[in-house]
Amino acid sequence: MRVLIDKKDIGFFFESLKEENTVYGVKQKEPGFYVFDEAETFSDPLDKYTPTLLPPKKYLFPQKETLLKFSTTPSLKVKQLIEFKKQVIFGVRPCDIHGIKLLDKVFTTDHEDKNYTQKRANTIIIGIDCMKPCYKYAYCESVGCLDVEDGFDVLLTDMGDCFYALIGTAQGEAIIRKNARFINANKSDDEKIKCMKEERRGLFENKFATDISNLPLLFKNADNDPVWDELNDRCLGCGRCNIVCPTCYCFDVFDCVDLNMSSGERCRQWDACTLKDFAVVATGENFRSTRGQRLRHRFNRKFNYLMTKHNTSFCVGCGRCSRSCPVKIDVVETVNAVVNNRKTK
Amino acid sequence: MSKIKAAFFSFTSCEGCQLTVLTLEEQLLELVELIDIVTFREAMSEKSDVYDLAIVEGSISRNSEITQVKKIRDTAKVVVALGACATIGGVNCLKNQYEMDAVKKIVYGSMADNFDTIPARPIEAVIKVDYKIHGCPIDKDEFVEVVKAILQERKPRIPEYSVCVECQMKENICLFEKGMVCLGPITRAGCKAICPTYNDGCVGCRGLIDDPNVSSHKKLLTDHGLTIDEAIAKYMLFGSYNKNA
Repeated sequence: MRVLIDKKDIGFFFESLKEENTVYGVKQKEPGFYVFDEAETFSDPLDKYTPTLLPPKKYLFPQKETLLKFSTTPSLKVKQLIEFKKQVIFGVRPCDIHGIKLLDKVFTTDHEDKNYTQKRANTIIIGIDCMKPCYKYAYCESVGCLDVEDGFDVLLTDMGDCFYALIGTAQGEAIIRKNARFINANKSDDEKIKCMKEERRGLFENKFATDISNLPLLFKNADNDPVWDELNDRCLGCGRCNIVCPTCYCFDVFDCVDLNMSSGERCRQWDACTLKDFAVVATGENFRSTRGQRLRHRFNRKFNYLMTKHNTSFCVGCGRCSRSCPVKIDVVETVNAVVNNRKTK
Repeated sequence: MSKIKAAFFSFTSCEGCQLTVLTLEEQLLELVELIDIVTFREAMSEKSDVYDLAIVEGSISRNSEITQVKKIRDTAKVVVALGACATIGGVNCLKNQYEMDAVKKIVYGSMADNFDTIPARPIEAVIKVDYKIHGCPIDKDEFVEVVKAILQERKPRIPEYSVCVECQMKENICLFEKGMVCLGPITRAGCKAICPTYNDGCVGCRGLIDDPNVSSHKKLLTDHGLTIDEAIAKYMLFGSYNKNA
């Protein structure tokens, strides 16, 4: 199903969703910097938009969350905690929809992570398609993440006076019917969207020096590539690239005992593979003791290990890590250095 | 089991870290259920020479302090260094760049000869330290965490990663992206990135992370308009203690 929502009615749709859900939208924090936050009213900085400081992942897999509560007196009691609420993330871009799709994979493959899946099941995702590149750091087209076919409940495309709303799920259809003022789209609207998508192709380029499908093998053979030595000298090991990533999902688990020393909680908090103590084991050895080794691992996670396991790129091309790196370590430059160094061999 | 007896001591410092402990307010009541505070000059009149846990604020900057801190080590089973002066020497070590006679003259003028001073140093330079609570001032939650860890005989959960991790998790805009400079990328976290959160660059009061890439960070500072001398001055504010000097 696809419908048209007049632009003057998008605010109504947004407000109406707030009746039964917590609605998060994109807000400008300071000029040029956006965040997802609980939104009073709908505002979409469509033209000026750049990816939010943190991806919407934070509503499905928060920076820190409690997994269980325990008390030891009079006898040991443990209570699992899975927090969730009905929520809408409004204005998710294709790169971030892909990011959530990848998290869906990792948090359900081999083991279901209920803290994630319960939140995910109660989340409605309203996407907004990108018709032009948002900023110089993005390379969504290079990793196949510009086009998005599922992973959203509704995907809005800006047609000028109105939004073309593609419905992705039964839940999406239900909220459109219940919460939106709309008219059904017709064949000519579909054609127009098809044309717009054809036209945008020319605007988004493949910035990688090879096809994405070649990357796992190239990275597999790049363990001793000089690029890792160069990055070792530059990288600060600060961890920002991990923290801003929509597909990084590593976490650390720890217990926090209350001051009464008899009750407490077990929490998890985002961890980051570029940090020095990430791969330290109990006896003190560090499997990746240099910054270069840790960055090599991070790139392999995106373009080799997980890509091989799940048969899809684990980088969605949002460019957040390239933008936020204080010393400007750039994904496109790094990937191309690996590609070109393999070619010359 | 009898309660652990804890004593607070001050050396060269502003005593602001002990004051931070007092701001624990309602948690203080729970805390004194766990430990028996026998000496705490800033908070009470009573004192005792019998204690298990010594919580020591300040750097060592006089010969008499060396004797005093050694006596504390001999008495206490566990010694905690409280705050930047105690853990890394803190701002007191800025004077170490000068001759001690010159320093005394600047501060005490014609009375300089009446005072003893030696290059300032963290207490670890004089005695063995079991736990460190970093920061200028300390983070009070971290103080509670260290006390709990001592009681549970486990390693406290103190971040070994950079301030950037906490800063980015709070979704702050990086100060470098706003044309400012910050020591966050090479400074140990645990402060909840309080300075960058309020738009002020990190000054490194918690000391460096374990393997700081100072040369790359220095280039970052100079790329953002600082001269080499200005960059070094940033590092020296809290990082001027040189254990090899």
